[in-house]
Amino acid sequence: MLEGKFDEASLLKKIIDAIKDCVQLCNFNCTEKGITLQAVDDSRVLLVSLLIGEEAFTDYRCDRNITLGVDLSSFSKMIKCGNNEDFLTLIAEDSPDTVLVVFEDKNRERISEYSLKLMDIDNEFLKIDDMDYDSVITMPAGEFAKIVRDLKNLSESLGILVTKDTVKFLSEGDIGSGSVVVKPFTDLEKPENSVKVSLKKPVNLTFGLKYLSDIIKATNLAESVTIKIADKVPALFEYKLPSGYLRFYLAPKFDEEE
Amino acid sequence: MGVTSLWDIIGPSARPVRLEALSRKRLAVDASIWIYQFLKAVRDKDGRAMKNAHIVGFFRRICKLLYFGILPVFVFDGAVHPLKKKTILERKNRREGQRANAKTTAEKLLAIQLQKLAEKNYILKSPQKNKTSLKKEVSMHPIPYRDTAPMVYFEDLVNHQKQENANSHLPTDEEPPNMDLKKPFRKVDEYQLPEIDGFRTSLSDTRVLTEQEYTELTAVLDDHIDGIDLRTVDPSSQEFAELRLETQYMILSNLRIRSRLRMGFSKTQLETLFPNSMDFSRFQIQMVQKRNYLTQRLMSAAGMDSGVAADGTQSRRIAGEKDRSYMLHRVDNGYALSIDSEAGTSTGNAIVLDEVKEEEEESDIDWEDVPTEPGPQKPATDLFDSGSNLLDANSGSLYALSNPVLDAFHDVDAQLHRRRLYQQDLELSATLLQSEVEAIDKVEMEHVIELSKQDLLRKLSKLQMLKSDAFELVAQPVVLQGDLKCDPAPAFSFGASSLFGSRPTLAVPKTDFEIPQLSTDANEKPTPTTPHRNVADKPVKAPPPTMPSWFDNSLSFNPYSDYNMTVADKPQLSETADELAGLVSWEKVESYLNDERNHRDFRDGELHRNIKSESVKGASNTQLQIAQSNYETIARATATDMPIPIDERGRKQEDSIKATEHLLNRPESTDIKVNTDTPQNVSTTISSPLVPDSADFDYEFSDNELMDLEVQLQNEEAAYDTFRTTLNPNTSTISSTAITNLDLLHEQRKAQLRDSDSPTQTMILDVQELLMRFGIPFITAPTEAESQCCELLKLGLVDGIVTDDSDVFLFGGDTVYRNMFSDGKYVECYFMSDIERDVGLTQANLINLALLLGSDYTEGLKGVGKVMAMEILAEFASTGEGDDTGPLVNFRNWWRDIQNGRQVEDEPTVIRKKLKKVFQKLHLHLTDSFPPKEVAQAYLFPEVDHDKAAFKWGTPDLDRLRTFLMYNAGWSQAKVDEVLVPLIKDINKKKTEGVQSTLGEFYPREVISRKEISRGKRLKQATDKLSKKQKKS
Repeated sequence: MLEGKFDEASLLKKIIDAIKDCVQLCNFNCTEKGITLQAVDDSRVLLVSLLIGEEAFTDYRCDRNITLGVDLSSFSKMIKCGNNEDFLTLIAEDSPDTVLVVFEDKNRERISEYSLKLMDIDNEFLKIDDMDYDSVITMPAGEFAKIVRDLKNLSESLGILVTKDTVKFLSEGDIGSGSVVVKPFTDLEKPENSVKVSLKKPVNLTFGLKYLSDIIKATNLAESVTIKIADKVPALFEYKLPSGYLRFYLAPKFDEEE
Repeated sequence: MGVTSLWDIIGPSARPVRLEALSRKRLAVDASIWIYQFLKAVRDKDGRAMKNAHIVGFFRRICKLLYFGILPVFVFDGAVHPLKKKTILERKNRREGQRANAKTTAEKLLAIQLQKLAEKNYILKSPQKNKTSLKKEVSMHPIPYRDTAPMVYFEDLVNHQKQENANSHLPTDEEPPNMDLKKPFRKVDEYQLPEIDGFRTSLSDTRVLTEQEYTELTAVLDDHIDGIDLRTVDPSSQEFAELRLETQYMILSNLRIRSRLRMGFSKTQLETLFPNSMDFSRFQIQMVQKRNYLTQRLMSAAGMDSGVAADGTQSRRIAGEKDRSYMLHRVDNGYALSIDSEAGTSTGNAIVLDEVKEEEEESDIDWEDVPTEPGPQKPATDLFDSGSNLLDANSGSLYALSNPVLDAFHDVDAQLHRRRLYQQDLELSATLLQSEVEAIDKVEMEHVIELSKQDLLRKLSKLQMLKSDAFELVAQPVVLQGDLKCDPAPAFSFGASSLFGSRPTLAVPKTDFEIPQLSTDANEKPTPTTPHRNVADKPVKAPPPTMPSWFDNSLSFNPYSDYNMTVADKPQLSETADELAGLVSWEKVESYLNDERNHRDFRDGELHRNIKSESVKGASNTQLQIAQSNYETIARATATDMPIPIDERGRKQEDSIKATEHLLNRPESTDIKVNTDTPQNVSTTISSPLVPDSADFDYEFSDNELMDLEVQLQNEEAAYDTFRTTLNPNTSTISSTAITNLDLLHEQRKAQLRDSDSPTQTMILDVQELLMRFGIPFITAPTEAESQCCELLKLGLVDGIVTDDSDVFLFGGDTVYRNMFSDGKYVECYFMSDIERDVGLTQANLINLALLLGSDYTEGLKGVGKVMAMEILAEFASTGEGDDTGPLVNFRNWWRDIQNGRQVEDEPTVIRKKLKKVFQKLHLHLTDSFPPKEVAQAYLFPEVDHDKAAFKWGTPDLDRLRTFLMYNAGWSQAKVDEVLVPLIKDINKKKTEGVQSTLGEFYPREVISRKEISRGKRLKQATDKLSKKQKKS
């Protein structure tokens, strides 16, 4: 039996909005520690990994591990029905056919209930070990989103070049090229505006902007984004949740010669 | 090909993989059956094989692979494995065995009939002792020797002079024995024949060819056709079946003629060959059988046995016609049907629906012209009726098809009238509508009658819009109308309508054999059209608005007679369209038109000219009216690609176009529905010519597989079109790569005949040449390509295998991609781990399955299907440790016990009971050698190349590819560039920007659970059981 109550429906709304464009069908794995999700996009380039910790809920109970196979586009339609401030409760049986979404209006005595049919989805996942990255960048999520949006106009690929104390985002296309250089910066009043770069080794990697623009859909979820990159492995883009995280693993582009 | 129905068993374990996910993957491509597939593929489309089919086919597939960043390695078949040879031989023998059975049955029947006849003869003859009457009997009956015991042979008694007279009454082929016996012949039994010494014929007998005549006759017949010796060719052989259909036909017909010519032997030859008349008779029967067989083969080669539908119509005619075929084309919002080979070959040109509409429109307007003549309204309506009746009667399907369209245009017609014949118009239009179309929606009709002049304009504008959807050059009709003004409006409609009546009847008696003739005729089109050739090569863009109404109709009932018209008209019209775009004066255009017409006259004779010119005039006249309707501005504005300033009114009307769109949408959609039926019919009829030769072709394909293949290749065709569009959005100006170039066909045909000796080897060389120019590595396997693919995978030289041959799993293949080319986005991927987990089949069990079901290396057990095979494997799977005998050994032991009458089990399981019953019925006999070890050995340890050298990929060489395709496939440079240039650009871009990697390269995949697979109940039980046992052991 699963029962998870969010204080505000907006959190789940934002999460689903952030991932529904890159993955369609996925399994929510509910454990006593919280809800996890791992899904890979169709072209197997971008992986979404989500953890909504126990603490993100006002009430959370899950006695036994439950898998909810959800079609995200349907789910997204359903959770749009509630107001952002409503309480949102997810309820599911032990081996469920449906999941129940309950909205409770805080101001009025109104309860709306939606039931979503679940699907049988292949439950497989990629085993990702924690690893050391060559460089870790933390920057405001909005700024990163702007860079991606701007440079997407020029090309399909974004180069990220991390050297000592500088991060250079670079894009070269038919019409011209563009680059944005971000340097470490500390904002004492608003620490979320700070840019931090920690570097073990200079890195130069290229990523598909098509996938990056999927990633920046999570911008609303957190003030800042942490980008961890290392040579020749997928980069990790992490948005912190109140309890838990939304991570994207993005496979890089390689030069054919290498 | 592969293990029978293995794909059905493992199919559910496939997972869809996006093609993008295969980026940077090195895949071994099993090219061994591609050539066969393409041979079939293009034959499917045009009803005949094309020489360049394999080149075009490979080219397309290679382009697709490269576009998705796949690094392919092509693997070709080497020598045929001895076991495979054996299996093919056995299958062939079995087939022949069946034929022999049929022969024996026929012989038995013959014997019974002969007996009856003999009895009857005896009864008839017994009262007559007269010898002359007996002689008559002898000459009358085909079996003169079967007389009963007390009979005395005529020849025994009378002198030889008379006897020769008697001979002259007998058929020549059956030269009766000349008896020279001293003693009267007494039969031991009914069928014993007297001994004879030899033949004797009278020199004056005209039916017998002299030695000289015979040599003369045989000299005419060539012993060699296309380098094939007629004396040695075996029409039932595999090699023969692989020949091209035309060659087969020629050989068969020649053989047949020979078999008539006294079995191909001269009299003296026969005499020396058959001193014994009994042998000669046998020989004769054999020859008759042979001839019969040849006739049948001939008929099947000519497609005469399969083309006749249940209703007696030969629906193949259209499909079989050389240069025309129905094609489904993907357009922006669905599919469109194209009738002829040029139109609709590109996406931009594909909207034939509009074409039909427009022609229909003109047809109606033509009819409408009549009332403008001095004649009263009533006859006009009658005429309309009769015309439509004729139409209805003669082209029912076409008419039905265009009904909705007609409806829409009748509205237009009605409105036209209203404008011109003010008082009559309401009445008339109502009458017209009622008489013409019964299917018309009443509401719509009323609505239509009330439509104002404004509505008419809107509809017209919508029509123009439709045109402009597909073509930029829609201003054409308007200009054409304007310039044809000078033409008087003739009263041609009666003539045309009677033509409607006569044309189909003319078409009906024509036989299949005329088709090649006609199409050859068309091919030998004289050069006058060459000025237009360039245009013809490009897609003919404009739906020819001046195309007379009958044109379209006759096209449908009598597709070949008007073939030349299509050729002539289309380039012409596009030419004019081009001219228009270039703002060339109409005079020039008209002179073109006249030239074209004259040219046609020269070839088609009076009839065509009359119709053509008349209807052109008629059409133009009506177009004139449309022009008068003050519509040109809008038409031009909406049509032209260039942003021409539209006047205020035009803009308003454009808005109204949208508003009325729903009106026109309705007929349009119905139209599409009807249309889609047609290609289905066509595809079935097209496939029929394949049936005869597929039976001989089962070396690689069974009938079912062939059907699948057809479907698959059709899909591929569609997918390729999409692919092409994605690759190059501006393809509208260049025609599709569908291989339909008219002029080339003729050349190719000749070349094909020349090359038909060893098609496959040259084809393989062609393809390898193509691969070299693409910079793609390829290898030729020592034996089977599949086994080499598996070896490459094991050596780590590739990441997966692309094949449609299920044998690959038996060789230990993993990561197999199937149906790579039938869908635009996804490909089926089979992992061995999935198969093992979901279906419970390991490599060993897959081989066992092959031994039961049959594969290239083994015949399999008779009567065992996929479900039963799985049940056997599950039932007899090894249970305990140390028991490594394998399910088939267990099965054999179990059956041996039953076979030998030993009862071992007191309580057999349900499945065993069932199996026992089935196999007893089938008289299964297993020996101790049953699971033949050599088969398993062949699969487990195939002869492969173990070279570990890594493959290297080059870049496509555009220039060399261009020359190759231009020379070998007859493509224009534009056609080659259309796909290649964007592809190479894309490849270069990937080089500069990098190639997208996938997550699978970095993280191992783990499966927690998979969704339930749907399959049959018995199969599910069996697979579950097998999986369980697998896990235990």
